Amino acid sequence: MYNSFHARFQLKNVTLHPGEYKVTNEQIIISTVLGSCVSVALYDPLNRQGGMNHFLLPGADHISVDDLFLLKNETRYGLYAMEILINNLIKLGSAKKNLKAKVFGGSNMFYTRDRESSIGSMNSEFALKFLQYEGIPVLSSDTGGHFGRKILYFPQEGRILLKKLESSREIKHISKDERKFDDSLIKKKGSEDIILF
Amino acid sequence: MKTIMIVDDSRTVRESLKFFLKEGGYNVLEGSDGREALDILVNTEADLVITDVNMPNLDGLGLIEELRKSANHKFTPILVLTTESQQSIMEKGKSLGATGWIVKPFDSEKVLAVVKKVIGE
Repeated sequence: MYNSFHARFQLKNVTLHPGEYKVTNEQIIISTVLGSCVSVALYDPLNRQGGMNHFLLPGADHISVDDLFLLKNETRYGLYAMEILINNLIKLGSAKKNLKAKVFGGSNMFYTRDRESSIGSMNSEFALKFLQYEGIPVLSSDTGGHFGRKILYFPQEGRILLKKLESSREIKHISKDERKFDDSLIKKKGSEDIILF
Repeated sequence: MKTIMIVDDSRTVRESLKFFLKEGGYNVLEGSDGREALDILVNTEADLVITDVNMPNLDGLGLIEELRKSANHKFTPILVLTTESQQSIMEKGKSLGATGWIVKPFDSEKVLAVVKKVIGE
């Protein structure tokens, strides 16, 4: 995550990398670039605050949609990304029942380990199913396809600006970053904190 | 068959926990917050409680406090399963009477191993 200044909007811009999230009640922009990863932007219209995450299900290209919630190693990072986003909004004063969602990403053009991968679809499917399970309405979504996405989120208004990224240079760059993140999560397997008092 | 009460305001988390605990051979009760769990536990025996921390109505720490005051769950093992890894909150949980602390994201097999260690098969 890093801070910068967005010249066009004259606002602070917080850029999320894969695995990060940000919640705020300040007038800032939260931005990110997505390939097969997915971002859920949550908005609390009552408190005019919101947050966004950026995650993927590591190695999800070999699980089925039916298994999404069976707490496989692949899905727990998605569950965690959603929970930590919601919990931190609750800490800022939001009630879960007031939250609205927008979902982006899940492109299927990246990852060609051994076959055409559906990892992007799995990521967006997970996000949409999670939100349905938790009763959080999805106001809009833009998922799938064969391109990258740059997202600018205005958390005080719940507004999103989306730009498609279709150049091969951009796609190569995004793919490299996501692959690195995917590998780091797969390697991380089994590093949880369990303490018995 | 041993009974485990799972308490989490996320339906997704409850469904996931329920799935692997049942596979592990346990009977599962569920509550969507501390208050709901407490209402069930007043008249129901459970061998273990697994609770989240951040929940509406009555949170996980409040639930531990209430259970430790109750006659039938004074000594029931309680595992906290949470995104909270802050030392101060963990210490508070410990002082209220939590048995263990598991920080999310978690590995279902490891959680099952801890459950077996605490209450047996």
